[in-house]
Amino acid sequence: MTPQWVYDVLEQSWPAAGTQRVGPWLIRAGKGGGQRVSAATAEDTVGTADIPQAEAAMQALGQDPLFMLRDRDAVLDAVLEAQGYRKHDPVVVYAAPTAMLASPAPSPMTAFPSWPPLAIAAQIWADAGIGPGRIAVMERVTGPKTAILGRVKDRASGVAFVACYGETAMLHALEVVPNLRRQGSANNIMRMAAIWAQDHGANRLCLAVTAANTNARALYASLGMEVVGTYHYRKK
Amino acid sequence: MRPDRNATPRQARPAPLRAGVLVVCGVLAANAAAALTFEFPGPATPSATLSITGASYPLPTARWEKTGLPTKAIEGRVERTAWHIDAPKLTSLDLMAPLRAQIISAGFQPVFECETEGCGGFDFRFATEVMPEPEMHVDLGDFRFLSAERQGPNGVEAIGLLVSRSASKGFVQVTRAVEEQSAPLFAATNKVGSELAPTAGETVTLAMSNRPPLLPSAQAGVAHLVTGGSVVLEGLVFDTGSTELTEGRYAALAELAEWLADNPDKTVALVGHTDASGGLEANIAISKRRAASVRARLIGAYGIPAAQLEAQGVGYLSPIDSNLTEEGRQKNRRVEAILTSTQ
Repeated sequence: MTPQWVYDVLEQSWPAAGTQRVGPWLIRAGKGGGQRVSAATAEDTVGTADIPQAEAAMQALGQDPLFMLRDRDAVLDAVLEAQGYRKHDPVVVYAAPTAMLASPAPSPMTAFPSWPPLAIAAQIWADAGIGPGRIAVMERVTGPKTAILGRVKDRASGVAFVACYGETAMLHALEVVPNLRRQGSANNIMRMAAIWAQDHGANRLCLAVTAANTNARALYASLGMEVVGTYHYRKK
Repeated sequence: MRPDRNATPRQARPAPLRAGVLVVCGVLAANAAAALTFEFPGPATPSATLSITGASYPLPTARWEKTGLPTKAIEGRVERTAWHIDAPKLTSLDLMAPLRAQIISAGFQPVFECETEGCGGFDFRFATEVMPEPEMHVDLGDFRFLSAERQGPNGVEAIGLLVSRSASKGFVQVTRAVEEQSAPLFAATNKVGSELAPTAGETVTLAMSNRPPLLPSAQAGVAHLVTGGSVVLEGLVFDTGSTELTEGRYAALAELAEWLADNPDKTVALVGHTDASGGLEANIAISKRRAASVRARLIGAYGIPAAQLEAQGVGYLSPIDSNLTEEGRQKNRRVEAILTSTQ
């Protein structure tokens, strides 16, 4: 069962462009910020009869109906399945104490935080398909936040975004330049993210990854991170 | 599926779960401590066991706080087993209640017991020793912990019981630590020899604490490979975030290579060690790769025949210093050479 802080930090560290309550639903306006910020969630008891209301609200925003299912949404999950909604992109959330990830510290100049992101960081994201919609999400975050730029052999090798909410920091949009992979860059970025998060009062660092991404999951597990939560989507 | 919020354990739920499976747990080999027999609330399969002598178990004694997890060190033999209980819809209470009753009836006194957030939630999970997935699984929304101790023939015996569940299975981890004030196991197996033996009566300290004097130091050099059986290869540097040995000349490798060249009939195992950050499996993999990188260097740069060298890794299982300090962790991250020839 996923602790509530996992869902809270997801919401706060990667916020939707806008939210509205429609009956029992929380409808999110994503504006190209990704699936989770475009998905509807049930904030109250819902049944089959409530589905059209959510569908209409999302269509009005120009978004295809997409639902995010958390642990507590087992009933909705079954209802959507019965209506022909397919399970999509199961996600797992990993976490570890920042103190654990922060040591050993990466070598100097292999990773460093900066906000706003340097042009080269934005370029790495753009090349990886993390475009203006997602950069806008990062700009919307109100709490402590930063980009972490990784370097390998005097070249910018990767980047990630980290934001804190309370005692939890969440890392998003980790990208390593394809021809600079497998050289420790992701590891350095993760460790620097933990150091930065620790300096900003967070005692744990988490991140969400598609369950199918075994390479990334192996990296997180090798750092001692553990799965602390799950969610998935349904769409037609 | 909602965890029961009652802090006080009560009787386990009746009927279908009480499959009554008898399993012998914690056979502390060749030791006075008697085996404990647990009856699990469902068909139980041991998934992993770890047994270390000359170890220290930080027995949790209170809930996690900002300053850390309050613990009491039990030094001696530590054994840890994880069990999978093949029964769906078990709550952590269903698992804890019957096991707790059995531990109490075996003469143990509870030291500390807690449930999920009452233990410290996420922070407790990471501050206490847990076997890696898939052997052990801790649902951060539903787990319980009990520490208990009793007076055994040789000293205190402690148990740390951690229970949790997934949708389909229950998970139980039993850590048992038995204080040993008897034979100087570690000193004996490492052939420390007379030069390190303390005056009579103090052997206990040496036997219990797995500390540097027992292991070859830099001064001893490669000679210790013969006299003591192993040597720490000092001064090795690995690329950050990698298991590759950084380029450069290492005095310890040059010395070992010279000795291997002079003794072509001798074989050596290079054994990687890590600090205790992170999961065991990952650390074993890392330590093995580091040892392999050292082996490759000895073969490639010093021309040592591959047949003379093997590379192994034991993760964090054989520390030479405390994992609580950065200095200690740094010492624990090392590669040792062990003489494997028997004549």
